[in-house]
Amino acid sequence: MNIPEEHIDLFEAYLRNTLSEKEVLEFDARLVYDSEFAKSFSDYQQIEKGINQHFRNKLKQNFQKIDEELDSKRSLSKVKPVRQKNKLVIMFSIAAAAVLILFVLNLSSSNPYEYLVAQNWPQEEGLPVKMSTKGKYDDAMNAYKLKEWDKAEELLSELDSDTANYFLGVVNYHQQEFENALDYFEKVAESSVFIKESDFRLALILLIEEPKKGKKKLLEISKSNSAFSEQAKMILKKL
Amino acid sequence: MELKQNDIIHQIKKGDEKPLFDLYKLHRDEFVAWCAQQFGATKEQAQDAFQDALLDFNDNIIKGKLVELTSSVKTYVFKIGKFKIINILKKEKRLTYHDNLQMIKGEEFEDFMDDENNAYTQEQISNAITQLPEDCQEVLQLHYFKEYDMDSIAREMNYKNADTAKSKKSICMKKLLVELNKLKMVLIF
Repeated sequence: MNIPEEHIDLFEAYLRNTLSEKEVLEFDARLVYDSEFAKSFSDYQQIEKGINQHFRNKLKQNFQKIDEELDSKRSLSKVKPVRQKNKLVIMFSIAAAAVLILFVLNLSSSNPYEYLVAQNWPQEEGLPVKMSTKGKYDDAMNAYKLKEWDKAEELLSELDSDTANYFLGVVNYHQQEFENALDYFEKVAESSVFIKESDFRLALILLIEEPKKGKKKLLEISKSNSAFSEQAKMILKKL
Repeated sequence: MELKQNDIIHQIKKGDEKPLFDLYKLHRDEFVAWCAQQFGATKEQAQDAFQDALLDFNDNIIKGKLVELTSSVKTYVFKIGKFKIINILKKEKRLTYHDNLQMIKGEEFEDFMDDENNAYTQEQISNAITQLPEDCQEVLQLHYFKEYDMDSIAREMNYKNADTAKSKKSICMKKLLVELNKLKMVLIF
């Protein structure tokens, strides 16, 4: 198969709508009576599609590189505290306070359960916000949906309810304020519609903060009739 | 790494790919976890779906199908991602091979037949593109993937004007056809 060179500009012009009305009519007619021309045009379109696909694939490869980066960073961070601590001890023995802070920071970023929790953290879309009526959670939910965590927290803090406490827990988790998140989830009453979600999220955060308690809580959930019991079992198997 | 969604569309429209990578880094793990929870998808399947979702998001902006968002970027991309993961899972279930005939059933059979009717395979087209000079590859990318007009290509590539860009693009396309024909010749001999 060959696409005659002189056809390329014509195909281009047709596909980019730059031909006159008369030229378009002639082109369409030729597609009908000239099968070779029609085949060339079809091949040309396939090549254009292929070029697009080639660059799409190239862009996709960049995402795959990010996967490698993210995954290798994660595995490196698991061994980071030991290495970093050794370096710090050797090189900066005078900066005891700074070393302590760095050590604590490294420990927290390398918590082995953080990734597992992130993978199992249920997505929370937030409460629906209606255009027609104004609800008391609307402003907070708009901020929540935009991931404006500080604003969402400020607005939710003004509301005293189990729903507000539940979302404050979620917001604090996203801000990595795990202790605060625990406090809020603990405040959610047994009678709340959010109690099951709240308990499960509480168990996940406990896994980061106090693994033993987290495992115990997950075990309780796995034996209960919670919608998260299967997921809790799955996580326990991985621990 | 918090992204302002109003700027994202504008940046992508300008040809900047960084917001796509930032979005990927920001939401990948949550999407993977959500797919595992909702569909029992593996990490690889979910990552594949999320990458395709962001590529479609990019396409929609470039083609002008998406100019303004009524929801958050995350919600929009997750919605596309949901269809992608469903399709991936459906496709993998449907792809069954007969023990003796190695027949492919389902949509893949039609795709396979389509490929057979095409003058070139995707692999041949990709190989031919990589044989082109760097500037030609760039021009083709700007025109066919990023859908830049000739003025924008001229600006981006420091060409004199749109006419120069147009003629350069035409030359590159012809070079590509030459490369493709070379590949065909190799197959024949």
